[in-house]
Amino acid sequence: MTALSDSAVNRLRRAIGRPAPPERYQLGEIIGQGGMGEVWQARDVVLDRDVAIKVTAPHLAADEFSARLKREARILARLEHPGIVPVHDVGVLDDGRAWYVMRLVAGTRLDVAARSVAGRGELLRIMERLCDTVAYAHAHHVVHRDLKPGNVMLGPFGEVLVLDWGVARDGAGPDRAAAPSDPDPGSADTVVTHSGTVIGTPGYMSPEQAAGGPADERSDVYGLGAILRDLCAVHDDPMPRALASILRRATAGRPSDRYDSPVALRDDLRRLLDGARVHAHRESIFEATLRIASAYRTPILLILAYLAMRLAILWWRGV
Amino acid sequence: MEPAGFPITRVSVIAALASNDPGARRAAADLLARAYWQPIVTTLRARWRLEPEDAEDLTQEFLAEALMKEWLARYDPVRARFRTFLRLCLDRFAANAAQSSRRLKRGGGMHMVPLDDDVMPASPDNPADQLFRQEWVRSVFTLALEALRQDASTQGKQLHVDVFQAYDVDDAGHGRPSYRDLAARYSIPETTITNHLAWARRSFRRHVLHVLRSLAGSEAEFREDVRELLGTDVG
Repeated sequence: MTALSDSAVNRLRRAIGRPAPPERYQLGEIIGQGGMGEVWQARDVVLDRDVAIKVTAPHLAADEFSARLKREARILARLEHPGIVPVHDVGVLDDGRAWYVMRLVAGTRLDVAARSVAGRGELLRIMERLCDTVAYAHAHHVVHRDLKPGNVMLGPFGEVLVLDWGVARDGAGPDRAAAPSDPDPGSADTVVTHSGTVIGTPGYMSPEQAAGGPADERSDVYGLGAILRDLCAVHDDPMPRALASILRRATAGRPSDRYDSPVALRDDLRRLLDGARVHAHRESIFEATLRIASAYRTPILLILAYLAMRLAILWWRGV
Repeated sequence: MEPAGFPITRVSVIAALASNDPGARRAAADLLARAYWQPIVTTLRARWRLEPEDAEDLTQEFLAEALMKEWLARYDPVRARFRTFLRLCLDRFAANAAQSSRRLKRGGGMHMVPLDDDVMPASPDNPADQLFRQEWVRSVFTLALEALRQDASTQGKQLHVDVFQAYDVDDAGHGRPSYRDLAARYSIPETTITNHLAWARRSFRRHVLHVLRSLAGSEAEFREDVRELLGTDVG
């Protein structure tokens, strides 16, 4: 056989390397890479807008991982929420790799953005919105299973977006009843792929996930707690005891000791921000007095001022 | 489905060389020789200015010694890529051979002249590494093409490969043929050309990944090789 020429080698590289989506999408540069796929910037020439295209990574077996990517697109299409990036289109490349088109998010990852967020209160409000998004997914029977700061994006207008639903468990999708041999990791409650890889990120995955056990909504609560832990560490000032209690409950080792939903976690965060009693924290009388005094500072000061004035009048009349 | 043409399927060639199974060792040595023959010959010709026949003789000698003296067993995937390790072994081997050739020069031994005096360190910017890598890519594609042809032959899809060969492989002097040209040449509809090309590209890609996995010293090296070869580094 004659040796391949340099130009033949280059043609072959192009033929199997760079994704070739339909002509409608003019591919730009690669803007991200994950365990399962690559994200490319592209131009949708029909609607004249920039989009992002996620494609199965070239080093992965096209069939297995393309099935996962298509499943991720289906989950995203079902979850219509301001905190979840919408999917516009989906397809398969001629080399068998799946792709889907989504909104191009021009934001900053939470792990990077957190350092420039002004105060702890603002970070807790970001956490509230994050809990809302995850709670919405849970309401649609989807468990993310890989929540971490790198999978959260802060948009330029304050949007909080949860990304990368590639390993989510879809409790309501069509593949829910798939055969046990189905390579799709999300088709069952398991968090171990057929190749034995545990789904999740060390440091953020719940102990039950790390042990290869089933992951439910409380596993996402653990992930949210791990994110909260990172956000609390951004500022050096001492952490309020009530916040430390919230953190402890969210990241408890046993699922039954955690908040049973992101909504419960969000509500406790909201109570903390509003100066109300946090359910996760058993406060002393001194703490309760301080909290109440802090929460009702203005009316208490007004009453004290009024009483002082009345006393002054009585004293003056008595004189 | 396992790609045809490669007896070593799931174990890397480096692991197979240390196997207790003589058949696996032989197959691994064969794959190693086929993958690295041309990169080694080209490097010896370019860097040591050897005549083609001398370069081929020395390549054979190098591969035989590498396998018999078990140099390759010393490979540590933590320290370098297997390809880099092999290239450095080749440099040392060639430097020793050059010394011997100087001693035997008057006796008619081969004449070896290095382009520079020192053995060049391994680096992506190093011209010797670049040349070695370029030829290695060519070898990987050549092996994958051979496997694709075997695959197509067993599946009765020879025409698929012919279309792929004509469109993506052959150097046509007047540019790439159009789908219409190919449809006319093979008397099939243009849509069939599209489908045949899609099948062949998908299969070829699978064979390339298989060859890369077989030749990589570690999973990390495999992933790096794929990213480099398929040109998808984060920009």
